[in-house]
Amino acid sequence: MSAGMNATELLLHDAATMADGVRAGAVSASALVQASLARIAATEPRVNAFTAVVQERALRRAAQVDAALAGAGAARARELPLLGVPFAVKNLFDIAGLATLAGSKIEQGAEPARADARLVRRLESAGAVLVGALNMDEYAYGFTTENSHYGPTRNPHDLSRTAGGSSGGSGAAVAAGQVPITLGSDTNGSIRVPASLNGVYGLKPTFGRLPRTGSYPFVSSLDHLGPFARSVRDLALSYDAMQGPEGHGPHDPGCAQRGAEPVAPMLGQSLHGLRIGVLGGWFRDQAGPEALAAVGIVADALGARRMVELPMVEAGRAAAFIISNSEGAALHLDDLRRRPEDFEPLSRDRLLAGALLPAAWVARAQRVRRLYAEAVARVLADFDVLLAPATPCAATPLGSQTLQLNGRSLPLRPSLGLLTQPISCIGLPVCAVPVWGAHESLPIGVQVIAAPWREDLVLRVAATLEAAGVTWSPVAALSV
Amino acid sequence: MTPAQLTAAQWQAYVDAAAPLLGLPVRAPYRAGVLQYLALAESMMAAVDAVPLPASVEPAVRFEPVSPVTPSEPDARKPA
Repeated sequence: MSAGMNATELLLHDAATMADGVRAGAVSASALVQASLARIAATEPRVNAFTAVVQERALRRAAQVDAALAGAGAARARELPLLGVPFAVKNLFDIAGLATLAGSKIEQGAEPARADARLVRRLESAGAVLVGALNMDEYAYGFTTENSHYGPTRNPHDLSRTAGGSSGGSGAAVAAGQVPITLGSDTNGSIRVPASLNGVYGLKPTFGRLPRTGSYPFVSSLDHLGPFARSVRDLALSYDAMQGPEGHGPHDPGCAQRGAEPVAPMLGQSLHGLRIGVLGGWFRDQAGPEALAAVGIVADALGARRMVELPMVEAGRAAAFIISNSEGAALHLDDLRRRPEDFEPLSRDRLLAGALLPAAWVARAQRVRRLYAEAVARVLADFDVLLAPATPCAATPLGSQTLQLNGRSLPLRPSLGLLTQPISCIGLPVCAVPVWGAHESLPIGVQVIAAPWREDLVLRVAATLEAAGVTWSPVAALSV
Repeated sequence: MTPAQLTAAQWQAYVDAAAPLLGLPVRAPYRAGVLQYLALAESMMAAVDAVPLPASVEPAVRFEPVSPVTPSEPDARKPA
């Protein structure tokens, strides 16, 4: 409830509550945006989630929202679901007037974007106010946001640890209470990994659901965009605001251009009759104790007892690796030739190697990916929802090189995506939900997975878990 | 014929031949990392190669032909 709250207090609630406060006249959009800007200024020296704050633009936009509420169009303005809500986007989304960095030094020299990305425009059309751009792994190739050009983003729940990646700034900004909603991208896990490590909700929609127009690509055949939030209704409101076919101007050839299928009105529906399975095999073998405990907590709450294994998971995950390595490198071939020294040292050698992969490997990986998708679809005929850990472990200390996992020592940076990569490879919708108590002090996420185009199911399950107090997403205890 | 696992020396020879073909400067400080990631990709490819693949399996990428759009004829693909 927003009654009696000032903007600073309201900022620590979810976006839906903030919009209610603005709608009711309890707080202005300008005051809310100023509170967000103040919290960003106070916490950024420790968190480093932002690479740009668009203060002037944000205050101008917030003033427009307030003017609309005071004018002839007030009734229409009050219907906007994200009225006056501050948000921020991973810096691979175009923001008019800024160079789209995609986490790189190289793109600092790019022409400033002429227009906002499609999804930025859609959120602003829903009443939200953009306040800035967020840190990420260079060109989205990483899982830790240890960015050598812009510094590492630190986990707000433990500043000595990673915020995950590649959308690390997007996860951290929400966990730090800087903004209630952010956007990120997910090619192999880059929404779900930071959602897991920062203890926030993250939605990776079905591949092709949301248009990517005006965003910097990583792997076109695998890239997804989606929101982060501290409540499931915020995920649903922002996701609903971003759905729908592209009408005018350039459009994303990878987008299915489906009509909007709003989920926010469905969140309270009963889960009675849903067939919920728990993924075994690969999804247990590649998970540490806290990851397995988190899945156990969620499965118990949902009464999910049936274990199920997906066929071909290892091959599917490997196919995603090959496709990403090759396609991601090919995108940057000209710069790899001309100025390899300007790339992120943590990913340059991997990109150079990717450019050298035989073409026949990549073509075969794309065909194995199809076969894997068909095999998983047969499993999904018997299940509505599947549960799996989102990351093998909770947030690791910044600078860690290896992950100790069930007696094996694995390279940390690629291994944080072991459990997400096999799911995004075949484009299934996933909501990552934050679980506390599985690790002694840190959150860890669980993937709630469904068949293509069934975002409604993953968000209904997430909303049920949240309402039951099984998952929650607190603002980190950063003293301000 | 089953793919062979390349030795480190064979991978170095591969890089020496393929990198100039692509115009890629694999400089001395990058070399060890590049070889490490090529070996990792090779291990991934072993899992991909292990899947029997009938010719009927299509790749998981698609192409849509692009029709011309004229002012008098709106793009029929797009919703009104």
